[in-house]
Amino acid sequence: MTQRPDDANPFDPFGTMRSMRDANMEAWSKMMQQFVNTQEYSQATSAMLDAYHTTSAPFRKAIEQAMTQVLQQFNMPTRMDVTNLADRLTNIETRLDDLDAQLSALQRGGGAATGAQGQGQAQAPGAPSDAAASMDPVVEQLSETDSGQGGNPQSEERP
Amino acid sequence: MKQQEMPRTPEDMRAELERITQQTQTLSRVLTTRYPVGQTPKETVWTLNKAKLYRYIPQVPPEQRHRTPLLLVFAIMNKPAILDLRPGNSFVEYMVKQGYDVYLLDWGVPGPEDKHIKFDDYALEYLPRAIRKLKAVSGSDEFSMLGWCLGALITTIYAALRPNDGLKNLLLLTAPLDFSDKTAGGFIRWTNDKNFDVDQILATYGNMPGKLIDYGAKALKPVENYIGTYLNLWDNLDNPKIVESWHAMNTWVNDLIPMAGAAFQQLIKDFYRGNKLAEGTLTIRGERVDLANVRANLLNLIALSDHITPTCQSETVMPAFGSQDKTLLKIPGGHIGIMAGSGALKRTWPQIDQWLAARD
Repeated sequence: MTQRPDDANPFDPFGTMRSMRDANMEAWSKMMQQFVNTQEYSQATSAMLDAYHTTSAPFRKAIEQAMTQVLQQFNMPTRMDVTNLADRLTNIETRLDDLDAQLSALQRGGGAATGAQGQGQAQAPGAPSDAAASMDPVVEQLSETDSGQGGNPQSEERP
Repeated sequence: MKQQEMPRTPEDMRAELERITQQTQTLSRVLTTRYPVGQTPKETVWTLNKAKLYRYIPQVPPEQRHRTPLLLVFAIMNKPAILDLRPGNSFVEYMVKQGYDVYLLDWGVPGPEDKHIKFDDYALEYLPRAIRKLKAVSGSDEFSMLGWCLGALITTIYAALRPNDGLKNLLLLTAPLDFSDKTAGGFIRWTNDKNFDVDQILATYGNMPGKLIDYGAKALKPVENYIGTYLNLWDNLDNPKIVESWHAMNTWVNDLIPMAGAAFQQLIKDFYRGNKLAEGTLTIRGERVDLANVRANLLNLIALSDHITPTCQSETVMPAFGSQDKTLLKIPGGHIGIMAGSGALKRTWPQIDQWLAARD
């Protein structure tokens, strides 16, 4: 669609581009899609990426080493320290999740005592989570399990 | 923005200047601010590391609700806000209004400490724990699960390895499962190139950077993604509905997150190159993943114009699933468009609702 010269609007700087697009966009798009799907494009981008990573690796390693030394000099935690800490926190979270699962199972097992909370009906929005909802009876049941009944009633639930 | 005629009077000139000022303000706003995506009311019911399980607040009376809760699992390389993009154009909002008890598993943003996380962890550590919580909160031992893109890959692995865990209905959206055709799409071509050194990329960055993933996705349709989308916005600056829609989508598209390094490595080596899932040689934590073990009712939704997951990557594995009740549904649209585009409300969501309601 070509704009007539007398309709040309000086306030619409994209007018020309839009007219070009209307006429050519689809063909242009198709051509580019075919281009990025060629083996040559794959090879070129992979090679470029590879070259960048290869050449930058020594510099990156040197910076990392220098940064680690500086942080150690200042008694500051390094990235590795923070990462290790995060790992430990995730492990603790996982253990807590295991406990939560076990508490839930105990609650379900003692449905008569705890009112069968969570069974057969949806919990109201905003209600406390299943493990925290009725902690005291759960703790009592947990003690009984530990002292006499033994076993891990929830082990099959653990991934 | 419509073609404007040359202003011929001072009044026309003033109106034109006001229009341009307004459009400039709109353009500046949508390019420099974030749209508040994910507005459907929800509560967090479970967290582990970066992952969170949300439960959306029911909006219909209990007697009108469906019995089986629905868990949504999105990909691990984008944020799941696309499922709840904006009021009136949100799959989550739609399903909540249809009476489903909707849960969403948000994998979170992996940090450097998460570079070792693999599909094994997503499918057999995080997902089962989130499901356990879903069951506890909903009070239902059965559930439906919808996985989208790599989320569909994870849910498929889970469904094959834990067929007796209460999964009643499995919905796969644009699921990349079969990579036997090495020429189907740009991703598989690029990642199969011998110069594409995934180990070196991860040695450099730890996790796969969001910007690289974004470049890969956009480069599949470079004209549309780098030029067409902005011209489309420019054309429609006078249309608040289109501007709002563009703003929300642009916010989601540019909200980049990295992908856990080990999972990316596994995606390239085991799936894109090795095609282990479709060939039945994939092992997850020592267990062979056999699609014949999937028992849940299956709905496999394919986007006909999907340039990220070509149709063949989802379609050819249908016979391998062990489900008795299998449905393959092809919907016009792209990888994201079928669920978040303007036609999703008429073309996709009602189909999902009907299929699920019939199997509640």
